[in-house]
Amino acid sequence: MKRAIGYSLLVFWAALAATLHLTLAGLSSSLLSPVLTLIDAESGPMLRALVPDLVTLLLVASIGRLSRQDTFLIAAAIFVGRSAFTGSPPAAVLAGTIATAFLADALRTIAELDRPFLRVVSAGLGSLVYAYWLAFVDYALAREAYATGQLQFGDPSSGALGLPILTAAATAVCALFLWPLFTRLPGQRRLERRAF
Amino acid sequence: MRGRSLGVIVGFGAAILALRPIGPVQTLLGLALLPARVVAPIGGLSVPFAGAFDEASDEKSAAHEVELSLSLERAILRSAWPQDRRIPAGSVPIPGEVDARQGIKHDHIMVRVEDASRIRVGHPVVAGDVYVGRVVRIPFRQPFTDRPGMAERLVRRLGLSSPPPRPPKNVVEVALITGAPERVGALVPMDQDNLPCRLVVGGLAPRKDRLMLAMHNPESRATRSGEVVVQEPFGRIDGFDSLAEGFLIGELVQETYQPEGQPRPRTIRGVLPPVDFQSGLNQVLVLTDAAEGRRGGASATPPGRAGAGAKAVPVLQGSRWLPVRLFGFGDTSPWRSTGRLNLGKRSGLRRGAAVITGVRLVGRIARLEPSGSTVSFLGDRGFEVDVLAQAVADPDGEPLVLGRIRSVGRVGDVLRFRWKPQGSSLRAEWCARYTKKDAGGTADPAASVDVRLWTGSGLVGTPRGLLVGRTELPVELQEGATELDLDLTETGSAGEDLFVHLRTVARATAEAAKGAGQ
Repeated sequence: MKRAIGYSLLVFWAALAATLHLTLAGLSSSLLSPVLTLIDAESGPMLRALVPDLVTLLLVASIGRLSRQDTFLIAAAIFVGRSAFTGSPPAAVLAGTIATAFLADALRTIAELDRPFLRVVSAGLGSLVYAYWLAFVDYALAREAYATGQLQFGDPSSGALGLPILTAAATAVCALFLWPLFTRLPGQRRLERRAF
Repeated sequence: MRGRSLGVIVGFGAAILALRPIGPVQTLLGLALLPARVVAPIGGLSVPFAGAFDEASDEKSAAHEVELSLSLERAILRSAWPQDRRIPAGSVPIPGEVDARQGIKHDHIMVRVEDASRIRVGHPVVAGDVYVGRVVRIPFRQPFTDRPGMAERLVRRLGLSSPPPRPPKNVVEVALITGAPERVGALVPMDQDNLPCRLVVGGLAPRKDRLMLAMHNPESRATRSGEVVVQEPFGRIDGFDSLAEGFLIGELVQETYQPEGQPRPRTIRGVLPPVDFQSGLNQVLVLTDAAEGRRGGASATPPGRAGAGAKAVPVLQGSRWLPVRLFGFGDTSPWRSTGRLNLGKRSGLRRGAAVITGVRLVGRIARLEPSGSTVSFLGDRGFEVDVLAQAVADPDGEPLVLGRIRSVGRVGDVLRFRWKPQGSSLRAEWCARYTKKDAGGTADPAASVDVRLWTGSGLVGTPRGLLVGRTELPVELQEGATELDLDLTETGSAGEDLFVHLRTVARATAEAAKGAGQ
């Protein structure tokens, strides 16, 4: 029961992080709309890309704090929380979240993720892997839909290929400051396992 | 370690499923995500930013746009009727709207007609003065077989799959003349030497840069140019193509073409069709024979080109629309522009359904869940829509078929779409009508035509006559350019009251609603 409440809270935090991500993206675009009129087409997505991927940051921070046995369940909870905030297929979001989780878990075998350098690397790399995976899925589905005459939305063109790098950089920078907050969210203590 | 192994298996399974979606498994995943609906309303925090860049439309302009949409519908209905050709005496033309294509059959279109009872396989189909193809299948007359296997029966019993729907009674399948096995007898009444030449046309000529119909067995090898029309003297015995006798197929041309990977260019003769077969067909006529017309019951006098527009039904009354609420705006992937809606599969929505405000298109449903859906906005990269251009100066004039345009994203306060003009489009002629000319009668090549873009036919869940936006259409392409960027204003705003397309209603119901002034 205790753990169930903990995971439910994690789903809630993931949804809140995703909402915060969308709100910041909307806010940045709105505030900079006068600038947007003066620059080219890539500017809109570029501003959105500069918003850190807070859900991935939460995922990596949770994996850094909690037991390695729970990696899959943490990934599953984060997937449920974030799936409602993206147009990408749920299966792709699930695969991307699990891949990011296991990547952070693999880095954890080197040293504790709490260290500033590993915070930056795990959050940045996790965000990069997740975003490129979704871009790849969108691209592959768009190509297939084109060949088979099916309906498809979302096709990252070559211009979008640099965007995940910006998001990853922003996420990595944020990891330095927000990590303590994301590892002390209410409910995470309920998911801790006793060593002895 | 068990949890880790499970994670690896689930991760790989999900990755494969993402690239090769399987219907029942996706439905199952959608059901598993139902608890996520509890947290989804948190997304409402992002909704105030919806439509931050869009100019709001007032009631007056919304009412004006409804009128413009109706004018467009009238013009489209008129455009199906021939202007310079004659429908043979005794033939009963049946108007039909082009419906969504079926899967990978690129050379076939589905046509929704008012009355399919008198249509037979083989009846020719025309669009205006142009011969398009012939009816090859009338799905509802074919025996409906549905023999699910044991696994499929189990999946259906669990509610994860549903039986295929029975074909509607008013839809017929038409094979276009571009199809490889299609052939029609043709005639060049007057070639470059003022001589006639008979030939056969059908399929595509072997060139990749433009759509050109192939010609076969020409009577004379010297014929290089001229107008090509249908000529089927024995059509009454072998098919019905003689009903379309005299209808235009295209312009015979002889061109030099450099095929990829070949050392030398080759000369190709073929027929350039005046219509865009890929996405330019909106309204067509099925030419039925008189004998079948009598058998099918007393036929009303065909309205002809002048009277065709009287049957136009406004787009908002021709379909059923549901009010829908946005409870999440934006996407965590920066290249996408999507939003979450409160209605889903249970409300009867389907993928591709249009989301509108007034008659303005805001987006289309990209993903469906049991009790929610994701809408892809016009600014979503890769968002595609087939459009018609209507000159702002002449809202009653015949629209120009632009074909498919693809969203690049938002540039400041405009939405940028990319358009690849088809070689066979009638853009130059159409633009010339609306371009100011100097004293010498020549148009300024840098000129452009102010147009509104409207959705065309053949899109799943998106009826024609929805406003996509307003733009300037250049009269001429720049040297060497194959694509054009169209910057759209007057686009639909996600921040206003939204409605989603549920289904197209029968014309009789729509006309009754129109009559009642609803």
